[in-house]
Amino acid sequence: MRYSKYLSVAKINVTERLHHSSNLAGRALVVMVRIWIFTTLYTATYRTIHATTIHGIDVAGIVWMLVFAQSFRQSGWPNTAAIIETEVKSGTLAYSINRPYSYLLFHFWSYFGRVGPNLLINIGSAALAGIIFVGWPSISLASAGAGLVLLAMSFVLDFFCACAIGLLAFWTEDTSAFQWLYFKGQLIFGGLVLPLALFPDALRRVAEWLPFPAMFYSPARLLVSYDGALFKWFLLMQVAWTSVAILMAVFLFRRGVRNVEMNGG
Amino acid sequence: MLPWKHAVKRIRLSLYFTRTNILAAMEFRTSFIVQVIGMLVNDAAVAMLWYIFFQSFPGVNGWGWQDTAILMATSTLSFSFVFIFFKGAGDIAVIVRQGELDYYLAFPADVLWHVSASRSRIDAIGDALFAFGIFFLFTPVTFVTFAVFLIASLAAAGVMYGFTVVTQSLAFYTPNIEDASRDLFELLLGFSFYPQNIFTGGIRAVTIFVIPAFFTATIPHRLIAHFAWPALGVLVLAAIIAVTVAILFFRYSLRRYESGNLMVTRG
Repeated sequence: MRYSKYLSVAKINVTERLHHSSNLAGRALVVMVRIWIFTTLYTATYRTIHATTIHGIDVAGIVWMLVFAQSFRQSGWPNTAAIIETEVKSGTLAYSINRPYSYLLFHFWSYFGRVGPNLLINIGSAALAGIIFVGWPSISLASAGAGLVLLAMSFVLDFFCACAIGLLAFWTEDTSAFQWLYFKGQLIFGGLVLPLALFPDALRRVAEWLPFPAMFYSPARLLVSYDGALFKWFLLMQVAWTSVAILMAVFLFRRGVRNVEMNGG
Repeated sequence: MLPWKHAVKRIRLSLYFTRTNILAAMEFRTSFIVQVIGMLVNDAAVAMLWYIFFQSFPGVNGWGWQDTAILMATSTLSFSFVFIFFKGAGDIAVIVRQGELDYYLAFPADVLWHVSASRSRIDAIGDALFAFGIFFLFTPVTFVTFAVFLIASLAAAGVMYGFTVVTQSLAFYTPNIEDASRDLFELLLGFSFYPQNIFTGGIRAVTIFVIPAFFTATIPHRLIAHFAWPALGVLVLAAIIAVTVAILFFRYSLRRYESGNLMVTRG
């Protein structure tokens, strides 16, 4: 009963996302075109260096990795950091924190409510593009299991990172610069264009310690081909970085609400 | 009033709007600096991604890091031209949905121009700085290449503006199109950062007729790498067509607008 209100929050967000069908269709189209571009890019790249595989991954493997990583990454929209920033700036946060629910949990379940329909549409359209351009993927039971575990954790990690960034609005008003840095961190090290497996070795070793590969790249990488050691490493990174992100979000929220003044009315 | 006098007046007013918007943003100095530097770092991050890519794969069909540097310079400069001076074009869908167009309709000025010029994207100043930075650092700079860089980016900005207005004006026909419009624009930017010589056949047709990256990325890059008058002519013609189509489509779509009778106080 205590937590049923959060399920209701999630349900409302599912309905709200489904209502915006034109947005979902637009996003699906964008994801499909992106997969088309990636297929073209990596086909040309592999052809240029006369290779069929790099570090054991062929073009189809790379494309499927990007299909998954892009679909997962796009599913968290609208961006939690921007939503929280708007609430802090506009003052509507004062309304929310007076309600009988946890502000952070409210947004957590809202986020998962948005993720559900977005993920279905994105993965459906991107996978269709993947099948058309490079054929069916070969996903084993082990890789599916590992991928799903990492996927769930990556959404939690993404939410709390975005949440912490949005809460910085208590001090900086505008958090767009932090949001860009976060998204670009995901873009560069999160395997959204260039999978980490294709990075130069030295850079890859450094990047593996960052939170970004532990997000959407990790489930994508494991879904394409299972690697037990890599699974354990990504899980360890996810647990470590999620703990840091949760602590940051809670700390920033508690410090930030002290600055909120309510005048009634 | 003579057409050229009318155009000069519009340009002057646009510059005045932009100046006022920038001065207003500078009131919050920290926020202003964070936005500009943030965008600069943001663009540098994308450049870094491609730098890493070309460290792993030194060339794609002969396309190398310097080509990508040229591409990024022209694309970000075009973007900054559009969004420093005409940011409102990217907000049309939101303005229509919120019924805020009433405000602009009450003025004798052209609605599309007024909506577009009334807002400025401050972080786009960071894009402009990045564009000049990467151009001077990584491309062969001569007087000619610099002039071509400015002219090609300006013409590409015309195409980008036209595309923005058309996609945003879809809000007159269907509600909740904001995210989709933004996605389409991001797709245009997305096309603009990939090696352009990989786009052939069907995907090239898409970049010419659907998402006009051929005009905002391929031709500007080609003009700086290997200048040719016909290519410049095609780009300028594309810009004129894009802006004309945008104006006509917006005017036609505006007939569908229904006032929300929104009452707001503007500062």
